[in-house]
Amino acid sequence: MTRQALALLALCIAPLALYADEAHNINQIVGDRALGMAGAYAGISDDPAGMYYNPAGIAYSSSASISANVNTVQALDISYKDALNDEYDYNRNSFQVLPNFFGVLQPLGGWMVGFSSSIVDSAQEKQDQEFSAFADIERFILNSTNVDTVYNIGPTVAKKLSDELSIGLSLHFHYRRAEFISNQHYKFNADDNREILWVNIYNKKSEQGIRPKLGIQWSPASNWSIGLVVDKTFLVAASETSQLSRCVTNSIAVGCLDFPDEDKNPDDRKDAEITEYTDTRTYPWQVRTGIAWFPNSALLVSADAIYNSGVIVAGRGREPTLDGALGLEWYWSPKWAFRGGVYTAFASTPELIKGESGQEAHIDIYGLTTSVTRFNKGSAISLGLIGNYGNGSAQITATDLIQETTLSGMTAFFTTSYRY
Amino acid sequence: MLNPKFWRLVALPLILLTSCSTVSPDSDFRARLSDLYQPVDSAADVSAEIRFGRTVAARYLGGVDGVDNNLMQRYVSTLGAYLVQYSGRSDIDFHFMVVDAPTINAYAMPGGYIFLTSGALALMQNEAELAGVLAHEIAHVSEKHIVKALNIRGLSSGATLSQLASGASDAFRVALDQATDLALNILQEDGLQREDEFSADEIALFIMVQAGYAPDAYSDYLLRVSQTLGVALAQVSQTHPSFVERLDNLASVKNANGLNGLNYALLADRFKVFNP
Repeated sequence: MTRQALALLALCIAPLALYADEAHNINQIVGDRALGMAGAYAGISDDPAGMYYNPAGIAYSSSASISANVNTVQALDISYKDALNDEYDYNRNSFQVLPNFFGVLQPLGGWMVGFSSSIVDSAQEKQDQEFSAFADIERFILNSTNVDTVYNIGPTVAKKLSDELSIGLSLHFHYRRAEFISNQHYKFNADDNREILWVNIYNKKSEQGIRPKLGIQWSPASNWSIGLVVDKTFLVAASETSQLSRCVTNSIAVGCLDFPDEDKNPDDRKDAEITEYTDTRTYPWQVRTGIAWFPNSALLVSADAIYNSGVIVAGRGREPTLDGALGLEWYWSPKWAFRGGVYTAFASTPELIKGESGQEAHIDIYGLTTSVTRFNKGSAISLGLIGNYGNGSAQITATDLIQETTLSGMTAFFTTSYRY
Repeated sequence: MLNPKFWRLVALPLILLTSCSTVSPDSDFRARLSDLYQPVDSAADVSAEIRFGRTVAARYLGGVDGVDNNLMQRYVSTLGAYLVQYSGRSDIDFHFMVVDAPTINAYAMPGGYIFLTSGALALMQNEAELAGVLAHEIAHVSEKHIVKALNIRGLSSGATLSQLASGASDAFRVALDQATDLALNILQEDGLQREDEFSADEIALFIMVQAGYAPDAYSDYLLRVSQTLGVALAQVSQTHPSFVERLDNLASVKNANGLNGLNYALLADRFKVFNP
């Protein structure tokens, strides 16, 4: 088997992250109004999305009670340049319809309380690919499914201490569920001493934890607001199970042969294996600071800086990241508002080093958001788009080859909110 | 050990918190333009508004008679009901009546009770002018100007409109009397806020255009009223901004929205059939 064919095999051995990954700290941008403003919302947060961005902000909600929900259609593509046979690009894509936020607020005494459900990270990837006349392989079929979702669900409480200062706390239940299934079928060339190779991989992850989020919001001067939020996900339980089954045949023997032993690794001789882990992953501390300027009732400018600390994840390093978001809101009339924003999602993985193998992808992502909202008495409907682009490097094979990697995505979203 | 970047980010707002001089901000600076749209009323709110309006209307009718001309009353009511379609206030039934009074005025009570004086009607020359005046009053109802002007919570009982209209206790019945007096006082003497009148004029123009009436007819009528001398003018001037201001405002709205010179219906002949 050539090096490239081995590389192709290895491609599918390890589940690859396509969002719902641990390599970026900014993944889904949640909320209604916040979504159009690229998540630059810590200084605003006066609607249900505030429960995610800055719990203190909901204390300034102008309505007695608000609910909002967000539906998104997301498409994402990652291209690994010259990944196959040093010649062909390898593309992976994800498509999903995701209701990524719901929230409701209710005044209670002198407090504002709320409940929200956010999907803060998600991927739904389904691949059905076929390659022919590749190296010493006559035909290669690859089917895979990758579903990975992270939920944050729970209550929020906030108190307006004065017209200038408020404080809030969200206590969200963190739940992650991930499943990866890959089925690979190889038909070798006639001159090869093997006939068929079949590999099946199943990987399941589950995490449960608590994500407290403490925020304050303060107005140092008229028309200005500053937000500060600190949060961290603490896992209380986690599990991961991996199953690997494989079989290789030739035209002479009956049944599965010993597995090829080309790199002399005794593990390669195993036909099937089940591995279970119970490690609890460490999530970073996140500090979000934001500032918002309200020059008049028709214009709003907001900026956030989001810092995530570095952590060690199952022996792999996570570097600190400092991301930013800038958002703008403009009311053309009381019935129409336009929003736009830019944001970053820098990789928390180290830069890839030449000559080493088993390295995680390092892709810095930049995003652009825009939305238009139509207001009616007590309700609002928004339509918007998010475009994102990233460039970096990845190592999708078990070799030391590094591929230049490009990410591009487009999300359309539809949101509604209601005040009563 | 947390990274120094962490502490810098935490420190920045804290430094701002402590170093900025405390300026008491305008607490409404977060309000957005869309907040002009009020939350939808509950069925109970609407019901209370109607009951309150009925009380005010009954009190008003205690001092004035309706014009004894069923054909005219039906004509005005039919036209009013047609215009209401464009008001955005489909949750209440409007009632229109021409009352026998020499003054030039029209009144919009909460809950959709609208009265037009015979003096005002006598000065009109076509149906479009009548449509303009009725649309102006419909706008007062749809925008709840009188309800807002009353500031019900400001009454001695601190009651809500629903509580007042329920008449659940002697205190609320007294407060309802107070509110009714206040409403009539605003309508007949003090007048609404100037902004409310300008707003109603503007909305009236849009209702007229949607209904197919020439918007210029409304300006023509206001101009004619302003030129009319006599006792009749005194009251309408007392309860509204000056005609010069209103006409200027109407001209601005028409210019801004391309409503000048629209060759829409005037219907003078039909108007004269019902108002000989």
